[in-house]
Amino acid sequence: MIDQDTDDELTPSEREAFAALPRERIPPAALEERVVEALRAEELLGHGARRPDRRPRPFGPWMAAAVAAGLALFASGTAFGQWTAGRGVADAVSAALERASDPAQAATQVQEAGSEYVRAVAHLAELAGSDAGGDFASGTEAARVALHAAALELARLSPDDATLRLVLAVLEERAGEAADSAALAPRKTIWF
Amino acid sequence: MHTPDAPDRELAERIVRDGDESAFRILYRRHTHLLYPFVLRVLGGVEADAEDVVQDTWIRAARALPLFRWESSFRTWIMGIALNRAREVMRRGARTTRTPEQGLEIPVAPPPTAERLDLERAIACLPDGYRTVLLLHDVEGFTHPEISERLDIAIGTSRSQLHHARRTLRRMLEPMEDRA
Repeated sequence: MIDQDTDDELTPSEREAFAALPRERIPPAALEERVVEALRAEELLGHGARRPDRRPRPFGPWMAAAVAAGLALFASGTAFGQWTAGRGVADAVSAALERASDPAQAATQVQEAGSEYVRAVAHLAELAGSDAGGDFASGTEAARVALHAAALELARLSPDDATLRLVLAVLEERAGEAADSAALAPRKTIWF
Repeated sequence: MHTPDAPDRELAERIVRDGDESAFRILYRRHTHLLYPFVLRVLGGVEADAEDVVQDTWIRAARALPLFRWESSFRTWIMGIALNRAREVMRRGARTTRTPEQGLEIPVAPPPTAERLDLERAIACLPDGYRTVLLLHDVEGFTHPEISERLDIAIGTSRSQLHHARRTLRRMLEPMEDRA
């Protein structure tokens, strides 16, 4: 695969020297455990790993998928469902998931949860100017992480959707940057 | 349980479908001994950064595994993820590099003294852009069009970076007396 058209070709001895560089190196043994632990923590490995045939749980990736799907439908003007005023988001979604027994009900709940998500983010945006303690940043992070988790679940539902893959790639990039800066800034987000 | 020689794709499917840890460990051990030195070289020999990048690479790969179409080999795919992650780390800047033998931190720039260096250390001392192109071209064997695509740079830029990288490397490696 080496190009032959560079204007400063390597000498035979230089080629030999590059070829002699070791291509393999055993990484520290602890690294494997670090990686496995990190994947377990994300529920990508082990007992908590996500399976397509698993029943939906009250919280977690399935709920995130519901949120994202609801967001998409809301944005396209087709959202419907009931506004459960006076109830917390978690209670509303949890109760909705518990009573979901067929795809139609589940779809309705996706729309409800999506509407709720959009309203919450919009409300956060309205209050952004009054933030004094960094809560806006925490709220933004929560919204972004939920969207990312939802995109992952949607990608599992529609693996051939090129647009979705693009969205996911952007979110992955953003998640990487956020992870880099997370070590520098204290987090105020409480996950439930 | 899996045999150690199970194909990558079979192992990947077990990971996606079942979160199978033993399948992941086989895949990890099959590729990380190649992934780690590649990342370590790209990062100029900073072991702590290389370990972080390898970890992030596997996490990103595991997340994206359901979307991988197997149009390239798993190794090519995960090396691409690792390269992107390593470049993100380099873009953050303010890095220093550590010589493998000494564990000492030195600035990421050609050393001021003309002491003859071995090739590995000299590569580590190259500026990030030079080093990345040189590693991909002269060590990993990629062509300029392939480098251009992977790094999202012009082919001419790839050629120019390689030219400067080789020139800098030769200068670092030449004996003291040749410089007089």
